[in-house]
Amino acid sequence: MNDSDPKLGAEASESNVLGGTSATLHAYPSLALDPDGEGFWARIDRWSERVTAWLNPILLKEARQSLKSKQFLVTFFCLLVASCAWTMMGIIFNAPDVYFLPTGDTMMIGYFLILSISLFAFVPLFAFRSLAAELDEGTYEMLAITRLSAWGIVTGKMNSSVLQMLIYFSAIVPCLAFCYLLRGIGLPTIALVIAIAFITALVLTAFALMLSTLAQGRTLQTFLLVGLIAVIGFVEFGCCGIVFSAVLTDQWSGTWFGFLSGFLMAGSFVVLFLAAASARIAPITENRSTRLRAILFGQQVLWIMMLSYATWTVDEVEIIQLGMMALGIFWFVVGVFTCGESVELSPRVRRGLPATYLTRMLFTWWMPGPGTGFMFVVSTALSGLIVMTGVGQIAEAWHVRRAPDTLSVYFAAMMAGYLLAYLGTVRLLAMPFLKRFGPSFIPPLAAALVVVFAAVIVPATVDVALHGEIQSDYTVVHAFDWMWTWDQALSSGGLSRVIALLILAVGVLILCVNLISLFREFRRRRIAIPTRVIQDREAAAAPDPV
Amino acid sequence: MMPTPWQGPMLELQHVTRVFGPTRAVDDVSFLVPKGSVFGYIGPNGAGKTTSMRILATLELPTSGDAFVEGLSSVNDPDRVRRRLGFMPDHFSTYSDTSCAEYLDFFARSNGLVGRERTRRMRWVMDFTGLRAMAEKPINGLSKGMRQRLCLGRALIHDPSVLILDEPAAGLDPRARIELRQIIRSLAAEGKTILVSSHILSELAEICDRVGIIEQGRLLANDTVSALRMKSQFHQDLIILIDGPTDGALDSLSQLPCVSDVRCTDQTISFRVEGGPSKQIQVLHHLCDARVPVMEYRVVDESLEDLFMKLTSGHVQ
Repeated sequence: MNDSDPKLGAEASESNVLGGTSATLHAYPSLALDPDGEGFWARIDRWSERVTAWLNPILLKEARQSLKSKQFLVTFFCLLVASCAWTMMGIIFNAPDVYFLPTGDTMMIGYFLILSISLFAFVPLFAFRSLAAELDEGTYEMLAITRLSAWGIVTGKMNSSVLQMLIYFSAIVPCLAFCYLLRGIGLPTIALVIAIAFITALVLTAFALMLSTLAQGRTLQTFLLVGLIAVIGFVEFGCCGIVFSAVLTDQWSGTWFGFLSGFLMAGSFVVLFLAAASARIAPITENRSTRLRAILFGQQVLWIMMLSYATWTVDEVEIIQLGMMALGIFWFVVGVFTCGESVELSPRVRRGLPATYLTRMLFTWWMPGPGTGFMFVVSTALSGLIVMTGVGQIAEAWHVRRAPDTLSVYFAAMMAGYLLAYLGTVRLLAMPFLKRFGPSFIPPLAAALVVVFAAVIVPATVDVALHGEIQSDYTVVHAFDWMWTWDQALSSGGLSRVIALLILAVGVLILCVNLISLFREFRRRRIAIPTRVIQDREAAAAPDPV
Repeated sequence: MMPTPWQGPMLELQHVTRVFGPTRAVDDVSFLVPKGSVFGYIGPNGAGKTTSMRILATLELPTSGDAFVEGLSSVNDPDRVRRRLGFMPDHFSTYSDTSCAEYLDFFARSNGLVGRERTRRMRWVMDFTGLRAMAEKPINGLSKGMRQRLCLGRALIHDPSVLILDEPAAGLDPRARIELRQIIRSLAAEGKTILVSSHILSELAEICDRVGIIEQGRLLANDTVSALRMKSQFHQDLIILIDGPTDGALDSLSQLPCVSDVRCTDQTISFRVEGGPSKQIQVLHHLCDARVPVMEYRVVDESLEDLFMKLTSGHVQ
């Protein structure tokens, strides 16, 4: 920059453009300490400066803001008072045998409640409000024109939430140390409880950040905030249930893999939600899809690995089938959202399209667009189902216990058929609306709701029309009804192979109809990078002449 | 080999159109701003100034056309454009519980400034905008003028080559406006390219090399103020000072069909000449031939306000 600028340095203070006399009256603020200063404090200043240069600016800004805000101080002191009060109550009620009775688990219930309420409620709500306010009040625009990327902004918000969590946690640490000294609880249990609280809070915060990017306008913001509070309440009850019934009662030993898997999946959802939030606020001309697709693909790999291990550990093939069901639902939901992507690719995205025949074959599906998104979802889901079928087949060959009578291969065929049929129908239904109103995930979401409900209601209506009542026996007419079919597949009777293959055939047929409208997206070719951009890259890479 | 610096226009709009529902906020607007010049962008409320500025600042996408900063597209390379650009919006929100120094420090960090460079840049901005005395004060307690300075400081913190200032003088008192004008002048003297919109047209006329007049999304004129005057001179107001009685002069003027609206006060006669500069010369010749003792012959300059009123219809979308 301007090291040689005559306005810089000490003499600059005397040459205020506005003719002010402040230079001689006011020292530079603490944030602009003398960079050339000598002595111990100047060295400390430079060292801390070097350290903070690595941190996300949003983290620093929000930490400064939080430490000054009354809201944060009130929350922190409430947490401190509540944990001290619970400790004192525990000591008083158990006196004089507090060190001899196994009261550790009871005390931990209170500490978990106090910690979880602050981590689950306050932190995600602050995060939601923080990003929503940036978007709502226009400060985001000033941020957007800096060098911070959308990902940097979202992770900055996440970092400051994590810092907030750590500060809240620091208030309760002495109480946890006291709890460890009591009988009835061990260090692993305490660590597991804290890990559950933290991971859950991370997921909720990432979810809140993603939700806040949808909140355009006060009405929608309020609506989403109410939804978030409902989710937080639900999660709080769910977590309390797990911790109180499975962890604090020491039922968890031997299920470390379950918790580890849960944490890994939760971690992957944190990354997914953050990536989705950053995609929402990134410039529309950016490639906002490929990162999300890579994360989704990673989640599938993680899911299959976990289920494969679990199948052998639990000695139950049904786990694989439940896993296939979850995979189908997951990709259906993802597919609904990808259907809402824009058909048009910006020149910026087109510069990054795969160039060779081989890379086009492999990576076109990872590029933005509703058609490429549909194919990505379908192909990834099918590959996942095939791999899981293989695992199921091997497990069956190795005499792992088979609960239902439906073989994994037919279960996979049924799931693949449903995914292709339902998602394909959603895409076909949403296409005219997307063409008329532009890219949005609202039409595919509405179409998905219609398809999912119609699939259950239509067979029942046909039953009533033909027989005067809903039939108790599962027939081919009920193949449209995903709910009944799944129940049938997991029941002792199992699903008819013919029906499984019929569902797959219908799915493939709808896929073929969809493929006709996809070709345009697959014919896109890479465009050249403008000369000016290449020049700019070279200029940025060139060594500084100074 | 050292890369050659950009030689083309620093700012360019190429057939930019922006449609909001039924409204064409910007309609096929094209102009360019050369390096180191100050471009004044004027138009009534709702004319499309802010929208086109926001398109240049990468905050809005055009429906068609493209905008360029130093030859880089605001649409397709916003991250590269943002490094070169300082944008001061017409209204800006700030963070609560934040002091001026913290605010500037945050934006310095967000723009990738580190270490001594950041410290020096912050000092320079605080000195330049006269904010040093306010450094530790919370932003919420600042006056409108001080907030405008802070906003300008934020736009300048990363030493951009291009500045886009949207109504920087709006709501400022006369002193603050004069100070802001001084700031813009000194920034232009440093070689920065500035696009500035304002309602105070007399101020723009003083600091701008060129002006663009926009109304209902269309660019009506784009030239230097003097060239715009020349272009718009279908008629010109003139004043002459006569040494002696004015009767002869009034008689001579009344014989000319291109002269109208003649008014006489003491020895001064004001009148309007229909036509361009050649007609004015013809009038002067005629007066000299009639031996009218003309002491002074003066053209009444049109102000930017006059030009603006002449070129725009006052309709809003």
